[in-house]
Order: sequence, then C-alpha cells, then structure tokens
Amino acid sequence: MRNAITLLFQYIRAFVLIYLCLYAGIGISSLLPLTIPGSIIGMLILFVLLSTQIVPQRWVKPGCNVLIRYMALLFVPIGVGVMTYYDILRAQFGPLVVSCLVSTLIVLLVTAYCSHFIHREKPLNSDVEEKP
Amino acid sequence: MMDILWSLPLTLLVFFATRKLAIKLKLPLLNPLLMSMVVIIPLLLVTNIPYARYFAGSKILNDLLQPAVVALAFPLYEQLHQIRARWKSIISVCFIGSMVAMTSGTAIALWMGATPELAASILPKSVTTPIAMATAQSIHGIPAISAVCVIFVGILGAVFGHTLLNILKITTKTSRGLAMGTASHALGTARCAEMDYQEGAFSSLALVICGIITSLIAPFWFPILLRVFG
Repeated sequence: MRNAITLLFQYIRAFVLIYLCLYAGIGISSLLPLTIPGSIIGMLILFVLLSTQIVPQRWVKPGCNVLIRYMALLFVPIGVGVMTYYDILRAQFGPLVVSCLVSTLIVLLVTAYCSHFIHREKPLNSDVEEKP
Repeated sequence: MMDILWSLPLTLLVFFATRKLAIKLKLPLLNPLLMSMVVIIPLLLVTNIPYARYFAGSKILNDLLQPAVVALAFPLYEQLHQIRARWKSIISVCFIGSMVAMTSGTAIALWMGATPELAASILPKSVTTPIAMATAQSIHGIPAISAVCVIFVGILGAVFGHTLLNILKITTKTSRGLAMGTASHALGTARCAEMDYQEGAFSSLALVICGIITSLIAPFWFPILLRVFG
C-alpha cells in the first residue's frame, strides 16, 4: 500500500513539473514575436532545469518515460481527423502524396549520409562497439 | 460529454491491440497509429458518428501531446555529454536536413500544380504536429492539412525508415537517430525509442532542433520558394 502511494506521488510530482514547464513555455511564447510553440520552449526550460541540476532527474523521470513511450497513441485523435478533409485531399491528392513521399525519402537519404560523413571521423563510444 | 465513454476506450483498445499484434508478428507495416486510423475511420463512417464527437471523447489524448513534447527534454538531458562534444556538427546536419525537407516538399508540390495554400501546408511536414500547425499558420497554409501531411510523413518514416537506413548501410545510432528525427519528427522518434534508447535520444534531438529551425526560417523561405518554383 505504501509503495503504491509513493509511486502515485512520484507520477504526480513528475506531471506537475512537466506541466509547470509547459505553461511557463506557453507564457513566454505568447510574449515572443516569433512562432515558436510554447511546448518547445517548455522543453528547453525543462532541459535547462535538468542540466543545471535544479530539478533532479528522478523527479521527472516517471512522467517523461510514460509520455515518450506512448507518444504515437497521442496522435490517433488528430490522425482520425484526416476523414474531415476528404474533399481537399481528393482534389489535391497527387501533389500531396508525391511531394510528401519523395521529400521524406530525400530527407532521410541526405540527412543520414550527411551525418554519416560528418561524424565518421570521430565515432562515439557506443558507435565503436557496434562495429565488428 | 458522454462521448468519452466510448471514444477513449475504443482508441485505447484499437491502439494497444494493434501494437501487441505488431510486436508479436514483427511486421512494421502494422504501425499502431496507421492501423488505428484504418480501423476507426471506417467505423465512424459506417455508424455515421461525426468526427467532432469522436474527437471530443478522445481529446484528453490530444491534450497530452504538448506535455509529451516537453518530456522530450529528458532523453536530451541523458545524452548531454554526447551532445556537448559535437553540437556544431549536429546542428549543421539538422540545418541541412530541415532546408532539404522544406525545399524538396514545397518544390515538388508546386511543380505538380499545387495551389500556394497547399504548398504552404506541405512545407512544415517534417516537423512535429504542434510546430507544423503553427508554422503553416504563419505562412498562410491550412494547419489541418499540415497535420495530415505530418502524420503521413511520420508513418512513412516509422514504417519504412529503418528498412531504408539498413539498405543504405547507415549503422551508427547518431546518424540513424538524426535522420529519423529530421525526416519523421515525433513518430520517427517514437519508433527509434522503441528500438534503442540512444537512437531515440538523437532522434528527439533532431526533432527539436529541426522544429526550431523550420519555425524560424519558413516565414522567409516560403516566399522565395514560391517565386522560384511557383
């Protein structure tokens, strides 16, 4: 029973901290003249808090892990929303699908080779282990 | 208000059932998000339930997207020592990737006869949904169409990304993570994190940096693209 309460407390603490960063980020983004979303600024805030050790990592770890592990689930409601744009999607289906498809392929190719080329000279410890 | 009673359980059930099936059968094409859409959309059409009611019931999941973006700070922090040593090269790769993503998508769409409005909606397709929708708005695109493109591109990356990287013989976690995060944002990142924690960290790094670069550059870059290719 005590364990369950401790666990619950840890999750609540993590989520409260995450939401505090988010709302601080949203507040800051509304003041900026740029279109950087509040969630990105919130993430930068949490990142700074963690790297300066102001917030110990174990305080946010449970909440972060759960949100990241099930992130794909969070896209389902918007994903299903595709059905409401049937008309415009049908009218411009070709350009939309081809540009997304070809562009994604090009981006994967260019980025992967770029990174491969730039980083090859100084591999990470973890990368070295992978090589035979 | 009562929609949460059927909509949320339906979403959770379909998602976790397909997820379990995909892991068991080891078939990447059974992407849980894609399969959820394939199951839920016809279900709503057949039962004649409007999307607005489904969304109202599952809105809580959508609301968690923003804190999920904040949570990406955690894997970033865990990779801090790796990032610090070569942040210049990581930012360079992300910058090149973002420019290629914006330019190629918009150019192909315009070349194939898309309206400027649609081209503007396609431009931010490689960054995560909240950023893509905000960016589309700032360059007079349709945020909802951007969301569709973002999901499509994300599924493409999540389903075929690793296969393509294997064919290209890209084996290092850095390059794989950065490529997936740049091309397929949060869905690519989620897929990477499933495979390998460190790959997921680099992917979320790319997701963040590319998101910031795209949102900053798009308002200046889109008019140029429109003039050159339009």
